[in-house]
Amino acid sequence: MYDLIIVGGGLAGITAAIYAARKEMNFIIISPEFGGEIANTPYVENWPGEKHIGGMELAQKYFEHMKSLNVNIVEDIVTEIKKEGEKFVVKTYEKTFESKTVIWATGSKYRELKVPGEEKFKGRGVTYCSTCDGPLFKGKTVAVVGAGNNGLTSAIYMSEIAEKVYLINKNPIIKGDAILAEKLINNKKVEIIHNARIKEIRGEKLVTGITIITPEGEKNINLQGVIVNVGYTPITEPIKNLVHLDPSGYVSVDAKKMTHVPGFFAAGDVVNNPYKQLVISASDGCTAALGAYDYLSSR
Amino acid sequence: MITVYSTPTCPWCFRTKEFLKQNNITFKDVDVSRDRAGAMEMIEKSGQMGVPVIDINGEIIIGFDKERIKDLLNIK
Repeated sequence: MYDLIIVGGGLAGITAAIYAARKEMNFIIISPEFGGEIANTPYVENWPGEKHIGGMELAQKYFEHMKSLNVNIVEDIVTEIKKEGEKFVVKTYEKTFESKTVIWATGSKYRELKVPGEEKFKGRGVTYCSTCDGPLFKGKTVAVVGAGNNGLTSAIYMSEIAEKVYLINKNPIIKGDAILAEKLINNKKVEIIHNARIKEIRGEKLVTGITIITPEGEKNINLQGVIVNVGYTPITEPIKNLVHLDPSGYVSVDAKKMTHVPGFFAAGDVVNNPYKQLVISASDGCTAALGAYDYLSSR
Repeated sequence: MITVYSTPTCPWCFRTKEFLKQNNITFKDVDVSRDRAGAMEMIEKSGQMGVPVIDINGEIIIGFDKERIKDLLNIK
């Protein structure tokens, strides 16, 4: 029986593992992959101490930091967690583990547009990761859908690669950071379309265009790539019968990141924090690990 | 013959290549962000505009599908 099982290999889980290792807790961290969502981001400019760093590079750095502490890593996917008496039973595809506490730090996955053509053209011009697939659209026309920080970062990155970038914003103003928006407003390759929604993604074998709905009516745009950056949904399927989720599906926690289930903590993007930021995930991971340590010490 | 079609910035490509290296498997790495002909070859083989695409002796794998890669290469 472990003191703690951390589920999730993004920054929240990794930070929790670093703190748990320093407290010499008997624990494992379970995740199919390590690095988290930040690895899919072209670059990061709001991590204190790093003015500008590649997302993958930063993810690699904190993964190496965790590994240097001889953390016990289990590369697997958690399918179910149950509470039996005082202990948690954590099932993965391959094994079953038992623990006195759990930190759930699975983060979230990208949200889909749910429009006709999206499913058909996934990987055929529709992508959710500009960092991954952006270079394939060199010299082509693309639309970035979503004007939060992710969409803005994608649009800036794509303007360096593509011939023309449409930024499709459902709101009348840009909601992402002003410092990012400024880089786009005077960018000749970028055309921002406000108050617009995607009606349909069209194509044959690959994407050939989109139809958008604006207050002025429908408009067809010919293009080869659609980069969807419209937010995330939390990953909670294996714990949906165990903890309280808020109406949007995020996990509710107290100040020490413990859920209403004693000994069950949550950290990072899966938590109903008002902001989803790298430093907040790190902070959550730290608080949850120290919270779990205190919880065990007080018993 | 194993070919990985990738871009230098793609984390899943990085993970795919690391996984192959850890298992001592030699492969040809085609950087589709620079190699236009390589990119066209990838799209033709897979019908995909997304990376990574892995060609293991003619079997096309889309994305870092670790289980399928393990299966095809007899990695335990």
